[in-house]
Amino acid sequence: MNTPLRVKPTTTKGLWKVIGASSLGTLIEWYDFYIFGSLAVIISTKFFPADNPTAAFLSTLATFAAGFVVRPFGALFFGRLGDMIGRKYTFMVTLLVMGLSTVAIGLIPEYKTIGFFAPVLILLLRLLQGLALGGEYGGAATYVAEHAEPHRRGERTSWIQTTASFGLFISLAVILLTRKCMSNEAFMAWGWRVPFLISILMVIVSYFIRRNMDESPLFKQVKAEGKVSQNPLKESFGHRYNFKFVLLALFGAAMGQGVVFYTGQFYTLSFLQRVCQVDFDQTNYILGIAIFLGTGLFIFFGWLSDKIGRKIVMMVGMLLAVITYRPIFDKLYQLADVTEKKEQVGALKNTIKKESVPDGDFGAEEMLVTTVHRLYEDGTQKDEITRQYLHPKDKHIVHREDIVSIKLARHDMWIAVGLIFLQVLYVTMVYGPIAAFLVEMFPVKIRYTSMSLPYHIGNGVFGGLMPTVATYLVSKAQSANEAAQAAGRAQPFDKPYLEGLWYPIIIIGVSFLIGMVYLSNKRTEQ
Amino acid sequence: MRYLKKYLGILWIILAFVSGYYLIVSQAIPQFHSEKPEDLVPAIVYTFVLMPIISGGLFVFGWYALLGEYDD
Repeated sequence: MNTPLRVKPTTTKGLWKVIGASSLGTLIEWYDFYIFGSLAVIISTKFFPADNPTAAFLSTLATFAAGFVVRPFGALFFGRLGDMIGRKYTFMVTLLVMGLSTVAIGLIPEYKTIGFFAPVLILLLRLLQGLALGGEYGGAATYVAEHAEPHRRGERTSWIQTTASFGLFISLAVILLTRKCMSNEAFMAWGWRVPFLISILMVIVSYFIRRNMDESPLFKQVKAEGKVSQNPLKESFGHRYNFKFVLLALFGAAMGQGVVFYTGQFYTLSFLQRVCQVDFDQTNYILGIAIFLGTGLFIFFGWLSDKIGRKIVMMVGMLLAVITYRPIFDKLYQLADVTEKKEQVGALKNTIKKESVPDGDFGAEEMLVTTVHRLYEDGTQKDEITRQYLHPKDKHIVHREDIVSIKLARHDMWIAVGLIFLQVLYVTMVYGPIAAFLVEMFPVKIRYTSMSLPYHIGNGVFGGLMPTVATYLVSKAQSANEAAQAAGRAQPFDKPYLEGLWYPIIIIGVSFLIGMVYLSNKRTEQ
Repeated sequence: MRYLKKYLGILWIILAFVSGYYLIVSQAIPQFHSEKPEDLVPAIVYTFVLMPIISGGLFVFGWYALLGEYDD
């Protein structure tokens, strides 16, 4: 263990300036990263061949995963820079890379205009976003932690932790506001670009705020003493003493934390929209409210970890997640399941109208939209929409889409908010203290590199692949049931829609066990 | 607790092999043989990203545990 370095403590006013500047930049980076995920379905129709929507969606998911997979590489690249030239300059570069990539995504012409250049450019920009995010978080967390009083590090760094969820909240709010300000056709045609383009304003503001900040006092001290690492990658991962802590941080904390985070926020959104077929806007409202209500809890659990220890707070969060995921998701499914609900007599409405096809998808100029609107006694509404794309000359049907959209009754919507709030609560328990936990695990001179990699593998790899793996498990169970039904056998899966949860349950369970056995609850200072 | 930490290392090493088997045999290989081009992406991710990180990492973690690196 190294002797703690003696540096002049930052004043309270200065500390809040540090927290504010760091959090704002990190918030913008999360916002930039999330709008792509939140608009994935629309992006897939714009940038990938439109004649096969499943392929287009999978391509976007793959792009999404690619964004996450490159995050660990960003952690290595920028972590190394941060440990060699300083935290401040490194996380200013990541802010600019992220901001410019986001704006560029909003400017790229569609597939129908520039062909395969469109998806290739999108993929490259998404990779740049992932690279920048990989460098940002470790820098911001380290920068704040190195300014903070050691006994209040959990509370101080928890402000950085709020930005991941709050960035998602702002991305949802901006998308909803943009949709409200224009017609659905305009949003689909060009309005989806607005959330990407307005990022530039936020980036400029954050850049100028960060530019005027001082370097971290601990890094300045290390630099003044000539102890800056010459090869942070080798010292972090090439020496067994440090590498064993990197592995422990990954498997005992970051892996479980990442999966709790992505299950509670992203898989829930995908589950409501794709499995439960709940209305797009309503799911965003539900998630947005739950996140907004839960954001303050990051600070609370960060503070609590200063008092009772980081390990206990994080482990309780993981344990609760493992125990309650299945009942929570089952209840969410039941809320939207209309097979057990009673339809209101005389409330059935049918509408048929012709609409233009703004993008000329499937070579059609017009489509016939048939809507069957059903109302249930508890207030649930169900729209069965059929879109038939018509050939411009002989008007035969060239493509058909069947969409189901369920709008939960007000009472059920608030139950859904409560169920998602519970998951956000687990997120705040595991995520609130983790920045302080990771910072305290590694020495100053290789801290940026050493803490960034386990964090981004935990979140980027284990967490980021959660929707893909879970969607795969659900579809596999559904296929097995369909095959059994066709063969006249009993269906092997009682609730196939819950099969995707095995991924988070197993991963979080393993992380909980490793954390309980190998981690110490004492605050350590390396 | 010292012995538990040490001998659980065997479990992590077994888990490394099980996860490696699952990722390669159950996930990657069928997708490499799939006729759908989009299946190639997850197959590559499973083989070259997830397998080394999950299985390789767990193996080294288990090995270190078995050597008593986490005793203190």
